[in-house]
Amino acid sequence: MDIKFYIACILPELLLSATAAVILIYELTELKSERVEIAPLAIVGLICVLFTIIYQAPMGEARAFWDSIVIDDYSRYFKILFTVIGILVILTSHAFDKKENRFRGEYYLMILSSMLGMFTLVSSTDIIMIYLSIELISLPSYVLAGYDKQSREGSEGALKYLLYGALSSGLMLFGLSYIYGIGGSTNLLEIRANFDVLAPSGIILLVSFILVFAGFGYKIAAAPFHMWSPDVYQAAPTPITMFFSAAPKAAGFAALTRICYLVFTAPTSPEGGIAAAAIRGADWPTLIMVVSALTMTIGNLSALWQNNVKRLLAFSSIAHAGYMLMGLSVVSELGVKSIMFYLGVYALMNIGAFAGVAALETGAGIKTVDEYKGAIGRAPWLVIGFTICLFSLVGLPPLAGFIGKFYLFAAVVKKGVYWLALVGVINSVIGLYYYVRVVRAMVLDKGENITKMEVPVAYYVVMACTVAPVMVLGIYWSPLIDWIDASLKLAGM
Amino acid sequence: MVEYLGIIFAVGFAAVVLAPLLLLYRYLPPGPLADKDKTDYDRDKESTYECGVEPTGDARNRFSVKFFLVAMIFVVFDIEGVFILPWAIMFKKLGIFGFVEMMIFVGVLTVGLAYVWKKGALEW
Repeated sequence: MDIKFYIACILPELLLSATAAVILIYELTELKSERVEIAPLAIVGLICVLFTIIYQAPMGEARAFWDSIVIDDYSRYFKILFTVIGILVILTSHAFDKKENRFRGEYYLMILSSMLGMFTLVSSTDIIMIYLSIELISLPSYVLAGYDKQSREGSEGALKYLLYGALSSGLMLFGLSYIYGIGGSTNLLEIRANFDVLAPSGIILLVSFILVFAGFGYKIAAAPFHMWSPDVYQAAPTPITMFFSAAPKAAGFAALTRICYLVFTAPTSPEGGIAAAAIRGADWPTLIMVVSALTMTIGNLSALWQNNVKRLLAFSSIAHAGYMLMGLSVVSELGVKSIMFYLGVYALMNIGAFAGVAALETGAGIKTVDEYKGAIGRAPWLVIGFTICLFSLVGLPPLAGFIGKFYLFAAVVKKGVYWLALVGVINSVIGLYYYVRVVRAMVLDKGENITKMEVPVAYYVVMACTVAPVMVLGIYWSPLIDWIDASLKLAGM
Repeated sequence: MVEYLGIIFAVGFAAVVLAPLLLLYRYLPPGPLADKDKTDYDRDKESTYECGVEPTGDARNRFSVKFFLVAMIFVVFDIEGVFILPWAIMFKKLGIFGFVEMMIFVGVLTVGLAYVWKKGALEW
């Protein structure tokens, strides 16, 4: 029970909670004021959290609180990703809210609380901790989706999100209870050891996998649990949509990968590791392959018909979750590596795209592809950055999206699942149409309105922070992939 | 498998006895199409019972949202109480570590209480 050790383990989470508490107290002292400047406070807090995570790195792998939390390089990678996403989202929110002053302390508090849940989710190796973290991610998200009380659409989206989330949480808990029942412990590491001795039957593992996947599939918006996603993305305020499209998806994938490898794979050699993981009992990779193909297809085909840009990007997020599920279905090191890489670049390019959407929405109030016509004349640099992010989402070289897709397809082809790679490639080609439709409207078409748009500097900062890595990583991605290679150690494997 | 025989019996009994009952309930009494044949006596049979007095008006009312707020806040602080009770029983054994830990817990919830108070959710 070494207190100093435990505090050293959860220092980032403690600092994040402290920032949230400071924001709460500051909001209470500023109840009467028209506008409350919380964003700078939150960003300073998040930068401190970032330093703390990097400072924690020499600790290697550490297990705390009776092995329910594990601090390893895998979780560190995702925590840094969440912090970067949080900083960019808060910057965008600050600029988005300049005129209306609606985002008070609770807004930033909710974002930080959701991030705290993500921090604990990627570190947790205990069933109860996983469920708690998912609820901590979800509940502030429900509030954030419906933050704009005046908007009926927003309230409707928040209610849909809540109902879907409650149902899938229940299903996931049911599946986790089965795993607890067979495994004999709530700790995933102990369950893994027990499974080696017990050799549970394939059917019960498959049933519990389907139920657990129902919960996580909802979080990452995989078909057939994706229908909340377009409505919620369209109805939520645009910075919140930016947050939803990047952070909970990454958290869900991180936790899903950890559970799949810890519980549903068996070690084939003594030193373990991801490379020596074989499927235990149930043939869940094939199930994920089918779900991945379904998700990609549904996401891409539905996006073809969308006019509202946020809804279009929501369906594109669904399709990208499908691509990433390909990396999960191949039980190999390259698969996990490709998921981690793709999540990193996907977060960046999605944030860039939504920053463009948010800037166009605040600058000119335009929301549909038709209204986007001629936007390049009105805000040239913004539209150029937006275009680069959209092309990266398509997966065109020499941008980072291509490298991400390349790694995913390489993982699939190396495993020999050629039909899935073919489905993925066809879907990428279909995706080209709707992304380029937006680009064409902005760049090539003539719009009726040609007044210059006023774009706050913060949007340019966010754009620059995302477009620059997207362009650089497309050509020189070895720093990121080397970092991921070093982080590819899952605790307990 | 034989351990689950009792459960199978219970589920089967429920299905076999209750399903016909529900079906009968749905199809036997006069349906909505029989409205024009309804006498006053039938309509009285279906009205709400108000201790012999004629029922007046609708039972649906708008109620103030402060009841909902108070109920929500009650749940949170009740769970806090649920955590404090076992701690209070084992207080001596847990020592100074347990004391500080519980004070941190209560402190976090006090920040929440301060928020609720200042935001006016406790205004009746």
